Amino acid sequence: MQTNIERALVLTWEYPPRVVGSIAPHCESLARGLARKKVAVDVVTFDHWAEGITKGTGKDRGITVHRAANPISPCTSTLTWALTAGVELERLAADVIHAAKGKADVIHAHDWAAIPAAVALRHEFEIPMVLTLHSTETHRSGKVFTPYLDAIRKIEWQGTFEAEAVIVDTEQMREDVVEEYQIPERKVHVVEPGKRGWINALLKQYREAMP
Amino acid sequence: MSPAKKAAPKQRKTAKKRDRPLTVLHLCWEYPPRSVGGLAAHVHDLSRALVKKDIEVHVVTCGFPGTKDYEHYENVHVHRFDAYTIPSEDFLGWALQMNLYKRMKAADVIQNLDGEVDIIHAHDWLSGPAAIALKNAFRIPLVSTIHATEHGRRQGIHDPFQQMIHDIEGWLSYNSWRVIVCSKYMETEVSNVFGQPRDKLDIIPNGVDYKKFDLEFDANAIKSQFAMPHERIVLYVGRMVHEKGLGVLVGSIPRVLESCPDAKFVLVGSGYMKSKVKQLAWDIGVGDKTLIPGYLDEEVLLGLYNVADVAVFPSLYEPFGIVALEGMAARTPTVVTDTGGLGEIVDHDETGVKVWVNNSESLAWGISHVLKDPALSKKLGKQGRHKVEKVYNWEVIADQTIDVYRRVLAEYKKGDWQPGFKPGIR
Repeated sequence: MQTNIERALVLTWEYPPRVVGSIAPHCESLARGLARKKVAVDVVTFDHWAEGITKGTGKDRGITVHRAANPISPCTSTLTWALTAGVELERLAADVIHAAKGKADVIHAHDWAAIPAAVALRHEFEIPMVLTLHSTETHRSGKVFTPYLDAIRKIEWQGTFEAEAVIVDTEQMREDVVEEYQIPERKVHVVEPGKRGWINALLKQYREAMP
Repeated sequence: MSPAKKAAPKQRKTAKKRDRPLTVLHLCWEYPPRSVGGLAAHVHDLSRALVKKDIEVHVVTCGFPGTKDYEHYENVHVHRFDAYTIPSEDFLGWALQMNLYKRMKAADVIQNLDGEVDIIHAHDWLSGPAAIALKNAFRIPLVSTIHATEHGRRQGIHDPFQQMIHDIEGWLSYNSWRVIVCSKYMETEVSNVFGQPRDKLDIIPNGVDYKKFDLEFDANAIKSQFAMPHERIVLYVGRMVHEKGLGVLVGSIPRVLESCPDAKFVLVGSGYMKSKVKQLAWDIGVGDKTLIPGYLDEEVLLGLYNVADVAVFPSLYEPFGIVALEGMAARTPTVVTDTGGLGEIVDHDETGVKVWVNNSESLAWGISHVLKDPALSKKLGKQGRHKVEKVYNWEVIADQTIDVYRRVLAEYKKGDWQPGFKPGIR
C-alpha cells in the first residue's frame, strides 16, 4: 500500500469566493488542511465569473483552484445544469491528471452535483474516488418521489456505489445513507469536519482507497 | 484489499500488444435493431462500409430490453449500456444522464482495447457530452457528424429547452477536430449558427443501399394495391409533418389533374399531420385521387418505388433528403423542392426536376412536366440512378470519411496534445 498521498483532486460545485451553502467553506478548510500535510491539492469547481487557474499563496499555498463556467447558457433545471457543468469539471480534472502524468492519488467529490464528473473520471483514469455526502436528496426534499428527484437520487446512489469510501459527518447521516442507498456499512465513515485529527482521518481513508 | 473495493469491483485491465488496423469508436444514441430516426441506419451503413475498408469499428450505443450488451454484428463491435432505467422528467434530463453512462461504458471499451482507439466519432448532440468528456480524458481526437440542427428542425430557437440542445450542438462542434456535414446547405447552417470556420467542416453526403431497389416483383400485383391500371402513380414517402410540405403537395393536386387526369397521389408515411392531409384532400375535392395507405412492408414499398411514375418530395426544410436518393435509386423520375440538401442532390432536368419551395403551382408544373414527357421521364430515371451509384455510394462515402480520419490523425501526431500515459491502464 502506498503510504503517501501526493496529489488529491477536490471536486465541488461551490468554492470561495463563490459561496452558496456550506460546502464551499468546508472544501476550503479541507483543502488547507490537506495542503498543510504536504498534499498537492487541485480544487476543481464551477464559477461563471472567474474562469481559469489560480495558484494559492499564504494560507492557500499548495492549493490550485481550477474554475470552469458552464458552456450551456440557459439550463432547464439544476439537474441539466449539473450534468453539463460536470463535463467541464471533468475536462479541468483531466487536464490536471495529464499534466501530472497520471500521478493523482484520489478524487474527492462533494455532494451530488460533483458526482457525474467524479464517477466518469474514476472509470476513465481508474483513480480511486472518495465521496463526502453533506446531505441526501431525501433530507432536502423529504419523502417526495418525482422523476426529477429520483434522477438526483440515482446520481447520489451511483456515487455511493462507485466510491471506494463514503464520508459523512454524523452517525445519524451514516445510518441514513446506508439505509437509503443500501451500501455496505463498512464503506461509510464518520469524519467530523474541524475536529482534531479530521484531516488525518481523511488521509487514512484516501490511503485505504488506493490500490 | 479494502472492503470498499469488494463493494464496487472493477474489471482489471492488462496491457498487451496487438496488431491492429485504424480503430474508430462511434458514439450514437440509436443503432439497429433500435431505430427512432435516420441516425441508426446511417451509422450502421457507415460502420459496415468502414469495416469493408479494414477499419476496426466499435459502436457504443443505448441498450434497451432485449438487446445484447455486446455483439459482433455484421463485423461491427456493438457495445450497449443500460439506458432504459434512467429516471427523468424530460428528454433532456434523460439524455444528459445517458451520456454519463455512455462515457463510463466507452471508457471500459477503450481500456479493454489497451487505449488503442485512434478516433472518436460522435453523431449529433445526443452523444455530445460523452464525446467531449472522453476526448479530454483519453486525448483521442474527436470527429463529429452534425446530421441536423435544432435551429433547423425548429426553424429558429424558441425556448430554453431548444436553446440547451442548440448550445450542446455548438459545444460539440467547438470540441471537434473536424465536423462532417451532409450538404453545402448544412455547411452554411453549422458555420452560421455555431460560428464554426468553414475550413473545419467537411461535406460528405449520405448514402443509399441502391442495390436493394433491384428486386424481383410482380408490377401488376403491386400497382393494383394502390391504383387502377390506367392511373399513373405520384408517390410521396416520408413522415407526415409540417416541414415535409404535405399541404403544398395536396394543394398541387387539382392543377396536376387539369393536365394529367390519370394521376393518382399515393402518400406513404405517418405523423401528426396524417388526418389533416386526408381531410384537406377531401375538402378541396381530390379525395378520390389521393391514397394514404399507412405502414407498408419494405418489400411492397420497394416495389412501389419502382412502379411509381414520379416520386415527389416537397420539403420546406431538409438538411439532406435521403428519400430523394431512394426515388433515384429505383430509376423513378424525382421532383424535389429547391431547398437544403434536396436542391444539391438533383440537377434540374438532368437527374430530376427542381421546383420552388412552398409553391403548389410550381410543384404542379414539375409533376406534370415529368408525367407529360415519357422521354424526359426515362432520361431522368436513368441519370438519377447513375448519380446515386457514383456519388451516394457507401463505398465512396467510407473512403471520404477515412480521408478525414487520416487528416485528423496526421495533424494530431504533429501536435503536443497527445497523452503522456494511457489513462486507466497500468
